[in-house]
Amino acid sequence: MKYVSKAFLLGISLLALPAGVSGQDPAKVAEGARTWAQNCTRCHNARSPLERNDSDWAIIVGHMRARANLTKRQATMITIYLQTINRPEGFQVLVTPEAPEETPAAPAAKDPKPDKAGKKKPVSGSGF
Amino acid sequence: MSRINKKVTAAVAGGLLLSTLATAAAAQDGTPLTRANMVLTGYGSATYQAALNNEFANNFTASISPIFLYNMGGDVLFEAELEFGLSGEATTTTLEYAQIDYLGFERVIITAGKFMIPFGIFGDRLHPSWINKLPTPPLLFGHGHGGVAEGSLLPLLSDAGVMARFAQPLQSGWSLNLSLYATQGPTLVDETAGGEDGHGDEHGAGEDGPASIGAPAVGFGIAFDDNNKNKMIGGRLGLVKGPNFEVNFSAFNAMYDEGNYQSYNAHAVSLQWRLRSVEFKGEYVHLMQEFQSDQTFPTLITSGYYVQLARRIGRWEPVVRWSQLLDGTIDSEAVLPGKEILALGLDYWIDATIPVKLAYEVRLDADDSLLLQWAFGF
Repeated sequence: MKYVSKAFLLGISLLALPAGVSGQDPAKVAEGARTWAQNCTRCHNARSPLERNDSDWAIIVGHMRARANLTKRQATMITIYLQTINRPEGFQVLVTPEAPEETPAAPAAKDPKPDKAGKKKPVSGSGF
Repeated sequence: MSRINKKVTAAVAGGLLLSTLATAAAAQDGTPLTRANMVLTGYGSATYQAALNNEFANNFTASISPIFLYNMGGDVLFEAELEFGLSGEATTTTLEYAQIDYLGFERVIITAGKFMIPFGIFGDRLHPSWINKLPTPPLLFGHGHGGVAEGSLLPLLSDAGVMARFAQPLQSGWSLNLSLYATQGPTLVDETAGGEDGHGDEHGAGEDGPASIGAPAVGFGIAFDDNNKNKMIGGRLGLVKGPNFEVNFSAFNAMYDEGNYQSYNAHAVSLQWRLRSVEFKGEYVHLMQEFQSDQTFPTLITSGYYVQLARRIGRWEPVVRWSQLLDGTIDSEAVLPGKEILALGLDYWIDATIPVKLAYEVRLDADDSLLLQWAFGF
C-alpha cells in the first residue's frame, strides 16, 4: 500500500503548491488523488502517471471509468490529477524534502538516498 | 465469411459510422482532429507449463492483447481489444470486445457493441495477465474469451448487446454501482461441428462435462445472428468502500435453444477485501441449465468457487488460491464429478505492470504442474 499512500500524500502535498505550478486547482488535484487511490488500486497496481501524456490519460480514464463504474466527476478529477502529476514540476514534489519556511511542512515521502554526484534519485510514480 | 469475421466487420463498421458522425460534429465546432485521439494500450504474457509426472506435454504459450481506444469526440469512446495467442500448433485471434461508450452522463455510462459481461469480477476486471496474480484463471473461468467453457464452468463472458452502468457515491467513502445489460445470449453449440469458433471441441462438456449426461454445450458470444428471439438479461449490483472492500451480486437469465424451451440461469457472489498488505478475493458461481431429455426437461445444476489470498512484501507477493467445482447435480443427485486445484504462487514485481509469476498447481484429478509466466501491461 506504500504506493497508494505516496500518491495520496502527493495529492495533499500539491495543496502546498501555488496553482500556477500545476496549472490546476490544487483542491481538484487533491480530490483526484484521493479518488484515484480509492478506486484504481482496488483491482490492479497503480501505474506510473509518467507513462502517459495528458491526452492519453484523458482517454484511458474514460476507458477505465466504464470498468470501475465511476461518475463523470470522479473520472474528471482523476484525469486532472494524472495530468498534473505526469510532469516533472508536479512529480518533483515527492522528492523535495524542504518545505518553504512560511508553509507548514507537508507530509513528505521518504527522502531518497543521494547518488554519488549528490543528486537525489527520482521516485517511481508507482512506488516500485 | 465466418460469423466471427462478420462480427468484427459489423463492430468496426459501426465504430466507423459513429466515428464519422463524431468527426463531422467535431469539425463543425472547430475541434482539432489529430491522432492524439487514439491510444494503444494492452497486455501480454509468455508462459511455460511443465507437467511434473509427464501426464501431459510441457509447453510454452504466449499471447498479446492490444487494446485500441479512440476518442470519437465529445463523450464518445470507441474501444476494442484483440487477443493474439499461441495454442498448440495454431495461432488464435479473438475479438474480446469492440464497444462504444457514451460517457456524457454524470452517473450513467451507456455501452453498445460487444463487451465483457459484468458477471462476477474476474472476467470483467481481473483477467488481464498483469492483473491476475497467478498464471492461470480460477477453475470457474476458462482461458478463452467468449465461446464455450473449457474444463470450467464458464468462459470469460463477452457478448454483443447494450449495457448501462450506474454509479452512486454514498456517505463515508461507500459507493453503490449497478450494471444492467441485454445481449444476444447463449447459443446451443453443435458439438459434432466442434464449435462455431473452433474452440468448441474441448468445451466444458469434455469427458466429464455436461455432454456426458446428454446436456448440450452452451456457447457465449459466438454467433453474430441471434439463434432465437430471446435476449440474455442480466445485471450486477456492487457495494464498494474505497480500495479495500467490494462485494458484488450478479445474475443473468436466457434461453439458449432456437425453440425457446431451454433456459440458462446464472448467479454469482464476489468479494474483494484488503487489510494492509493482505488481499483476499473470492467468487462463487451457481449455474442452472435446463435441457431436453426425451420428453422431460431436467435441470443440471453446476457450481463452484475460488478463494485467493495474497500478501505483498516489497517486490515479492506470495499467492495461494483454492478453486473447486462442486459435483453437478440433477434433482439433488450427483451426475458430474467435481474437481479442485490448489495453486501456490510467488510473484516478483519488476515494475507495477510487470510481474514474473512462479506457481505450483496441485490437481486432485490430474498431474500437478509447475508454471512460470512473465506478464506485462503496457
